[in-house]
Amino acid sequence: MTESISTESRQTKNKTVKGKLQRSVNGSVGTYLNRLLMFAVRREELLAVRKMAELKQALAPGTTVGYLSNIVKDSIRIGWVERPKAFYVTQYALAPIIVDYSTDHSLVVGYFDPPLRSEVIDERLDRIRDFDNGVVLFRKK
Amino acid sequence: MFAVFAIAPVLMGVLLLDYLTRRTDRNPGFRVVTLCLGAGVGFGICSLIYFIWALLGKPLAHGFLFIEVGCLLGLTLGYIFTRRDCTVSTESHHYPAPQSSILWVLRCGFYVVLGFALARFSGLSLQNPHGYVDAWVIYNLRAKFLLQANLSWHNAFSDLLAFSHPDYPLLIPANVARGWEYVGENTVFVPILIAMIFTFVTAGLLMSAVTVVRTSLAQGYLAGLVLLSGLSFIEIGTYQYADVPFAFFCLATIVLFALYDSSSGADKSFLVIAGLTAGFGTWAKNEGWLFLLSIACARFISIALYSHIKQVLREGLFFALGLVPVIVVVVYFKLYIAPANDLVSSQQVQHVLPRLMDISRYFQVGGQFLQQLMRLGDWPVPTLALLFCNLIFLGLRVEEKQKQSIATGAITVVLILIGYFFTYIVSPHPLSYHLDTSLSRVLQHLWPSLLFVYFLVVRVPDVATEYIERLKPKTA
Repeated sequence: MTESISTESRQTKNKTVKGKLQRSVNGSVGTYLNRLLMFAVRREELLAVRKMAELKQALAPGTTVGYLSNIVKDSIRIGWVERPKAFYVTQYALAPIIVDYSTDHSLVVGYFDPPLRSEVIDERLDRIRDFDNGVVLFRKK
Repeated sequence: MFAVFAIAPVLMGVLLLDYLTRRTDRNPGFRVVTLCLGAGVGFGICSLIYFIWALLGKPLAHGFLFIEVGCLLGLTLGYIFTRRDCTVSTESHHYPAPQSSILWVLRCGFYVVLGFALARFSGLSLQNPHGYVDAWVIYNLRAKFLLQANLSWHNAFSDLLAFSHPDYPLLIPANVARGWEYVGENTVFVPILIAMIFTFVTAGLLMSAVTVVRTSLAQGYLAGLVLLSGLSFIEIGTYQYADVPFAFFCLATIVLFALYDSSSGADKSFLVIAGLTAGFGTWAKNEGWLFLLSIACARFISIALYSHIKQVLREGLFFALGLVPVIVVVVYFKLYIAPANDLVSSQQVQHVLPRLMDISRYFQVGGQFLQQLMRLGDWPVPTLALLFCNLIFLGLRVEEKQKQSIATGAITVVLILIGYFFTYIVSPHPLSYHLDTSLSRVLQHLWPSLLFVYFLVVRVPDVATEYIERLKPKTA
């Protein structure tokens, strides 16, 4: 009895070890193949660059603008600063215009997903131009 | 113009190296070394020219182009006159006869893996044409500011952009901005091409340098194969960060010391170029300062071990000749343009000491180091373990004149590892976050150099084949 239990437990143990090993090998080979073959996904920075192109032309290089958004997913921490990915993407798309993570500027860039239409976003802001793709330019009242 | 943007630096670097080394032999391995080194050095020089032109307020539209053309003309003239003055070297370079089956397998393997690596690089770059996070938050973002007219590019160092690490040196941003000026628009193909050149030139340099120093094509192919077949090196190359260019400059400096030692100390020009590449390391990444310190210490130790201590001064002088012009620009950038680094500026004794005394941090960092070291190369099985098995199977073979180069390379790698280890120990950032976001990347800085040192030490496969052949029973 004792022997059968120990044999069984040994077999179970062997199975577990074998399973773990197999899973680990499959996992690593699977990951290897997945990473080898990943292709074409829509990138947020690509979309933002396209969406902001018209706004960028409307602003003079070197201008500093404020930032307002309802996109808060995917925070990115860089050094001490943690902000939504959409902010960094906006800054990259608009450079050499400087985007400040606040609305305390005479001009404020709005980046919304889903795009906001008629509702009042901030009482202190006047909508100057809506670019119809979630990108809005505001002026401070 | 797109082709000129990439060809001009390569040509400039190759001509400069040819002028300095005055090599006239037809050794194909050395030609590849010159081409690969020249590409990196050329991009380094062009980024300096662009930065100095920007510092001067960008006089003349595309003024940097005139300086580049002037440099190219000067170097071409220098090349022509040097060629005329030099006598053709009679030095013979016989690599083991290529009939060995192992060489054929390695050669085929190398080209297949190179093809896959190129396809994978292209695929990943198409998937992420703007690079990964740091590319569009730091490097390419700064390039967009550098592109501005007059002195408006200083906006890149505004306090509002403090998150974008404005203290990072400008080798990559200046090259990207320079490329955009050539092309006339902000196309994603410029940073992609720069990343691609540095990634594959690093592999080319490793392969050709091992071939030249070990006089074994098989060993060279094997080294290139190991580097290119690793997924992470190619992947990090597509990030468009400065990590792979920095890895290139680390490898280049160690290779140049090895070439100098192979010439039995006769060719001092290698030391001048080593100074130049070490300088470009500091212009690529802040870690370049640690590399500079490490390689200086390593060289000092290796000379003390295998040579006469007087050699330190002589070598130091030639090394400084190449280093100083680059360092002057980097120091100017650090003193007058860049803000303080976040890892350094926030370090005060009362904060650092408790972190240094915290044993749990050593366990955490040590554990992550071990884990990531095992993942170096990123094969389905640990690459380091496989390389160790290869070492056991083939054995060691160190030539007398390469001992000093091996010591220089190995000590440099160890010192940098120690430096990185303690950077994490005293890091002011949350430790898990800091390790998770950077360790796998920073270890790649050392991967090509580590492979170079490894392939200088391990017995060449040609010799192993001969040994196996000798063991076979004779049928006659």
